[in-house]
Amino acid sequence: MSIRLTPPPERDLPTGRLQLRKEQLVSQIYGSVAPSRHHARRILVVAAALAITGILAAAAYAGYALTRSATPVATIGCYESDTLDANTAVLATGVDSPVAACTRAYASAFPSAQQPKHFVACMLPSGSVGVFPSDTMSDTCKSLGLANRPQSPATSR
Amino acid sequence: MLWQQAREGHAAAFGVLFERHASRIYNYCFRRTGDWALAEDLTSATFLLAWRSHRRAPLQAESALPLLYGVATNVLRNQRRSLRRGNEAFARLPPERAEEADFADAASTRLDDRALMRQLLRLVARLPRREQDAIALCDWSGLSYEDAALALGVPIGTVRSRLARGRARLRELASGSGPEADVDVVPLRVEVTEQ
Repeated sequence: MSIRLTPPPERDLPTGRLQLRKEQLVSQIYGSVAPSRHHARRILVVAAALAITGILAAAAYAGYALTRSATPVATIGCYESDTLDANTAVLATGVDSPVAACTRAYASAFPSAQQPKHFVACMLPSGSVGVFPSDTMSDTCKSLGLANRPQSPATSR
Repeated sequence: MLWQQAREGHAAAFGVLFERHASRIYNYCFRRTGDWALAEDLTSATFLLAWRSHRRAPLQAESALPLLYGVATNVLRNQRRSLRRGNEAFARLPPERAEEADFADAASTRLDDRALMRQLLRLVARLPRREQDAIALCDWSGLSYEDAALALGVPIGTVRSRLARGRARLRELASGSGPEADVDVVPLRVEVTEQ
């Protein structure tokens, strides 16, 4: 069996056919581009609307965040005794009155200790608030080398 | 550059791209099918599907030709689906007018081409499909190993080995001594019935 293994020579697509095919294809492809462009424009409009909505929402949140009342205390340390080395219970954030919170939590935090009559809130070097049992009420912070917490008069139980 | 411009919506760039490469894809399709008219439809299908599937991606090569050969290979593998997806773009155009110059000669030549090609395709159809692709791209279409690898999406070494195996099997088959039973036959989806 003898078969020629090379294909016949290449032939050109007849010129007229080439043109017809080209026009048909260009029409098919770029004729459908117009709806695609409209589609792209619609996508742009929707994206712009979403972006504007997002910006407005962000601005509203920022306004709320800037104007809402600040939480006065993030965390406080409730000390078992009036020394910085004493056992400490860290109480949760958002407490309006550190002294009141420590007064409430003291018995459960330090069950073996006797509930103090008075507490005083001082500013710790870290910037947090520390609440200490206090007998003198006025000098506890000073004796610990700490400043009194502003607007935090010691309270009695 | 042309492909980039075509992607950006320049119809003229696509037109130039078609004029530049249509003939090679047309001949590639003919050599895979043995049918000039079908090759014309498949050429259109190739360009349309290439544009549809790759218009958002930059070319991996400087020329669009490897991409077009790759798409054409897939189109040939899935002829019916590809032609259906092309809708009216693939509808056969009216036949050429008989009064065109040299029409009879050209028609006669093309009939001879078809007979020769179909004879060759009957033989090649006994090769595994992958080896058919390698032979059609490298030996029949003159693609470099690198471009054929790009077209087929395989490493260059794979193209080389498929081509070597395909050539050897083809020579055995052509000499009539080939172990036909050993060949994993995946025939081309072409109509090889004679008129």
